[in-house]
Amino acid sequence: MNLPKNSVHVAYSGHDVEVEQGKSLLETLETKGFTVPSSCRAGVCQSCLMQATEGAPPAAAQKGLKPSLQEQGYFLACRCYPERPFGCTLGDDAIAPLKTRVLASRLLSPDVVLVRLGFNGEWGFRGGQFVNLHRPDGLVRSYSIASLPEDGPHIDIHVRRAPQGRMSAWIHDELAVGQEVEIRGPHGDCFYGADAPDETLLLAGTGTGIAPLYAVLRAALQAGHKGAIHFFQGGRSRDRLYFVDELAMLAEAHPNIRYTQVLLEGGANGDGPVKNGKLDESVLAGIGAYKNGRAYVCGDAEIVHLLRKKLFLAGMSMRRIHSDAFVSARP
Amino acid sequence: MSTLFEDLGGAAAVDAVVETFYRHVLTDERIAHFFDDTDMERQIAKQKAFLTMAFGGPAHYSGADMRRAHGHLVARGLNDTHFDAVVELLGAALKEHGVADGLVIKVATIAESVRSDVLCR
Repeated sequence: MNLPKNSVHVAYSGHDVEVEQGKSLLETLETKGFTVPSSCRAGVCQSCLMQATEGAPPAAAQKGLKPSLQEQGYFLACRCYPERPFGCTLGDDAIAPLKTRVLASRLLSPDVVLVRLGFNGEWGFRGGQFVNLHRPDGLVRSYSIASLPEDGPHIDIHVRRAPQGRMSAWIHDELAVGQEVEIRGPHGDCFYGADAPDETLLLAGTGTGIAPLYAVLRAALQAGHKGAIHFFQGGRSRDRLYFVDELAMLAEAHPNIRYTQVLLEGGANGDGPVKNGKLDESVLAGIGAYKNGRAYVCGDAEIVHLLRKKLFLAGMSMRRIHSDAFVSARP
Repeated sequence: MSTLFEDLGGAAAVDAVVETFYRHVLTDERIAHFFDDTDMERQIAKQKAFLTMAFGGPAHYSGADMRRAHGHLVARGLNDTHFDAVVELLGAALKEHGVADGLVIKVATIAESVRSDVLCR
């Protein structure tokens, strides 16, 4: 077989593809009959977003992507003129499943359980990203990683028992220590980046949105983050909040953390670390402190979208707002 | 002789202007309801594509692409007044970033050229 001169080998979702010099990966894949979503074909709309699975994509193909995506090897196929062989995939396709084993399981509150999933060997992740948990019958749900790689070869997830939730009921009531569970990932860009240790951080969330935020917080502290960290935990009422002691302990030990609880149904008295009202309003009230910093917003989808929009409209760049909106699956 | 895109500052200019422009769009009562805020990152990417095109830069949209992208909005009532609003807000964003009137007019002219396709006429 005569290979065209000056072509580069790319492994796309397990297929061997030769990309001729001067042609983009997108054009080449389309010529070969692959269906790849695309629109502007100019490196702007991100429809053709792919991720490198082996090796690295050319830097020019990553231009314009958020730094957290660039770090994870994401790139745009229409801008990709490979110089060195590498492997890649579109979206979730070739993310290999990881077999994990339940090491421990304990209730953090009447309806939130912490499950520790152990794995063998190397598996890269960052605290705050999420994984897809695959039940043997095919049911899949996403859970955020509440722990850090430094903690050991395992990840902690916080699972709230959802009303009519099939997966959460299974996790709470049936999943046993020692049992094997398949996960895929990690995904998401809600993780700490150590390139700006003095910047102000805003961490805001509801429900088990606290799980990824806790990981981001710990990662920041471990990296010696010097900037102020404003941590907001929102909920209906005081008894609906969980993990409060763990957060209070960290706030106590680190003077740069300010921990505020925001209770929708009221119950806070006076001006202290507990406020009444809506999370987005409380967060925006203090915008002056973190407008030039970086925000992480996780939890209830509606609240996350609203808060993200308000932070953006208040002047924060989308590049500095990391969000993870928890969307409830249909029962 | 430099191109309009180069005169404006190229991709860096698009990056600088797009968030200003998107903020205007999200807060303008005439058109905010056409912009879904559940996927803001994707929205901004689309706005960048639109601005790149309007700045005379490389964005290869066909008329058919424009129609496909906006058909569902036209069905929801998208019309000339909304298109006018977008061009107006684009101009405002450019002026806020110190772009000279002459260049703003050139950008508006390019934006104008897609009106029929966007409105599926």
